[in-house]
Amino acid sequence: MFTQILFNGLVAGAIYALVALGFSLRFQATRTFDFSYAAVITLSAYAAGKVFEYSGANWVISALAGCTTAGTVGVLLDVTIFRPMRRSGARELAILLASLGTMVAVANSISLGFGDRQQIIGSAVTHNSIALGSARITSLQLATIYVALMVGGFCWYAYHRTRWGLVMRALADDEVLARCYGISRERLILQATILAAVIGSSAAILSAMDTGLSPLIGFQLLLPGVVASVVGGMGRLGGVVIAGCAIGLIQQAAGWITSAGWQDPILFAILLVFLLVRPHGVFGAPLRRSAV
Amino acid sequence: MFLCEKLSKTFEGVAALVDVELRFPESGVVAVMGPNGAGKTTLFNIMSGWQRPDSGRCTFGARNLAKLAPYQVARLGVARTFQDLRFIKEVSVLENVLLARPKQRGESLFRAIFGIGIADAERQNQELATNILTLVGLQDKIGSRADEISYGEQKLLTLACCVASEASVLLLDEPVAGVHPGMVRPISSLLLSLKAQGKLVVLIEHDIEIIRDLADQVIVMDSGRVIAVGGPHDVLGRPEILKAYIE
Amino acid sequence: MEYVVHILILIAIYTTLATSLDLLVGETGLLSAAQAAFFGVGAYTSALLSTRYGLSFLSGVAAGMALAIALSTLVALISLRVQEDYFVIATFALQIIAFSIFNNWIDVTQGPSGVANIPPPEILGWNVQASGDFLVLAAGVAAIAYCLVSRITASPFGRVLRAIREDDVFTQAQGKNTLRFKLEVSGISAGLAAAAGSVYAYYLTFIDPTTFTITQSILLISMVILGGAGSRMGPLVGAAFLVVLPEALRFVGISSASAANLQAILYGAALVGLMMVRPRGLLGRYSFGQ
Repeated sequence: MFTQILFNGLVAGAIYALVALGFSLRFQATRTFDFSYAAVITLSAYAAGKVFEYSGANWVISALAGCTTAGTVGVLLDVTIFRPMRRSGARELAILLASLGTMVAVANSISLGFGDRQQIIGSAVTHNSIALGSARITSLQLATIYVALMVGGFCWYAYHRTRWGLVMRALADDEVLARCYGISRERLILQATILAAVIGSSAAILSAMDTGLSPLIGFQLLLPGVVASVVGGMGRLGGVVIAGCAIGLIQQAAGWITSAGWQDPILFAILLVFLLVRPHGVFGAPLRRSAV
Repeated sequence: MFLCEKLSKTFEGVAALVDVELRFPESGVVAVMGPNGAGKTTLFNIMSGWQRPDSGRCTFGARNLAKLAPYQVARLGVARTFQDLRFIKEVSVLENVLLARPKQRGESLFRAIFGIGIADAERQNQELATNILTLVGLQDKIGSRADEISYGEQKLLTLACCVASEASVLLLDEPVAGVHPGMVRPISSLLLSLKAQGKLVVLIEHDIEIIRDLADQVIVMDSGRVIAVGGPHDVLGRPEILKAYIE
Repeated sequence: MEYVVHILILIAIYTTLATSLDLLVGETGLLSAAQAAFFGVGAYTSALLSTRYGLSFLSGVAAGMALAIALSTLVALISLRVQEDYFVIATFALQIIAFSIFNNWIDVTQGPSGVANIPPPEILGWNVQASGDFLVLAAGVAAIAYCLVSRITASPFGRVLRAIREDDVFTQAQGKNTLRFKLEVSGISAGLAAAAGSVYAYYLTFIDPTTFTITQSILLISMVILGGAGSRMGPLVGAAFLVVLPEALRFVGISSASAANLQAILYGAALVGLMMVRPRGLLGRYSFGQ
């Protein structure tokens, strides 16, 4: 039993870590909480799902379709909504509200078009399971962990070992200075948006293959992602990933102790506790008092 | 009243203040000068409670400012202007000054809801705010939105707010830079009259003329240290001070 | 005619709710995603206290308001000590937790089945049973909320709220304890939302968790912004839209489920459009810094 929870927790955690990673990346670049991220990854999961149906269960093409959709939608939303707002000097509150509106509009559009019911994608192949000790782990779950490790590793490499990553970190630290060095903030935001979209889309597609498609899938993944981001320390991508895994484990354990319905509130109670005792997250730098 | 003892502050490896020792007079005009990055604004931030020193302490009337929140320091009687010119943009000039008025009983929720005894105080505050705005030359802009007046006028607005707060210490960050030349004289007179009222005015200032006219004491800073303290004629004549500016 | 009165009652209830949110978002610049939760706290408290313990209307309302104020103060205290951005996240947390309690704590709230058979209220001898009576009650509560908020915003307290909205640092530099103001205003906002919830529960005689979801919170935000942030009549306009729109859609022949989706799409899109082009909304005084 314990090992089963451990596995399930790690798998769930892997997915939340990916979502948290994408969400934090966008935050790093734009300095705002972007709830439209839920819309981006939901659409990508639906694209992957539909292509899977029509391509005769070819998951490579589906995944590509999903990621492409995510990147396209992410860029589209940023260019049509958030960039003009940034240009006109909109405050964070205004951008936050716009992102909320986007999330709601897209989720309900999907609901209108495809219905609310959970739709299963993925074939029997993905649910073959092997035994590992006293637990059973499906091939999908293994794939999830594999993908998460690959994506996570790639991000770490990009962030810490490439010039692009260096520039991102510089920008995160000091926008004005970055601009002095000729680094275009908008271009960086675009790059971060695409990367975040692809990361998030992989999480959503994997999750959809496990529990099915629904218009709320993005939102349901985003919430733990946001919690992981805060708990991990918004800017610290490594911390955010670890927090995501921890949250997956806690959630599975909680679900086993109480019931599935209490998983979300327990997560958020943890968030509130963190805000109370360690608001900058486990790994984040202590928050500076309002910049003066 | 204001005492700085061995103040040191470092930001991510850069020393903003190093062992700063200062004793401010009870009243008068003190000018703080120095090249960019000398630590002047950091000094102001610590003196107004917005930052805490890494070591040493800053006390005002025997209260250690590091133990107080910024609003508490303001209530002790320390008013300031900000380098990036802060004020409330979407309301009128008058509203800004009214905000600065201290001890407003109407700011208690209970009184606000039941409206007891705030009408008179409001009237008085409005009168006073109008007078102060006239004093700084903004009498024609009282009803204008604060973000619709010129930069120089906004500077005057922030000065008016400091006066309205009845603070005994005013920390002013370049109060006349960018202001219409015709207004410099009235502002200088205003600062001198504040001094006559027994207040301490501390200015961050670059203009040597103004410093010579107004300051009783000049503090020169460079790279986080105090390199000279004294009367204006004494300090401004020294060659090493000019050197610090040029380099 | 009955139908018109029904619509008017709902508009009155939602006006109170919108007014409570506008005080927070439009006047103070604090975004809360938990207004539906406080609405629900008031509704459930009144519903449960009256059906299980036979408590009177006034007791139920008072208890609901007290609970809402306590919760909002706790959440505000936790998050505002940190940074204002975290207030939104903390209210999200509260909203999710509250909905889960409404939906899962079956022993107390009866979960998805909801609470039914809420008896008609009796207020100091006045039996509120007919639609006309409820209209007077709902409109009365809305009027009280309107007066309360008007007084607050016209006072020096209100002046500080608007200053906080614009520049918290400057406001603190004027000697104002901005945390105290934010705690107090979030308490009032939550209390008014709970009062609206109580009236709602008594009027419909049946409540269930689906009225108090995160989507509802976001729709409420849209409604307040559409009507106009920081204005006194804006909430009424926003509430009228919120109530009439689904009815109008149903009138045109669109099914309930689709109507709900369509409404949410319109509101979501409206929110985006407004923030980009006209943050003031229809009657608002606050343009969110544009």
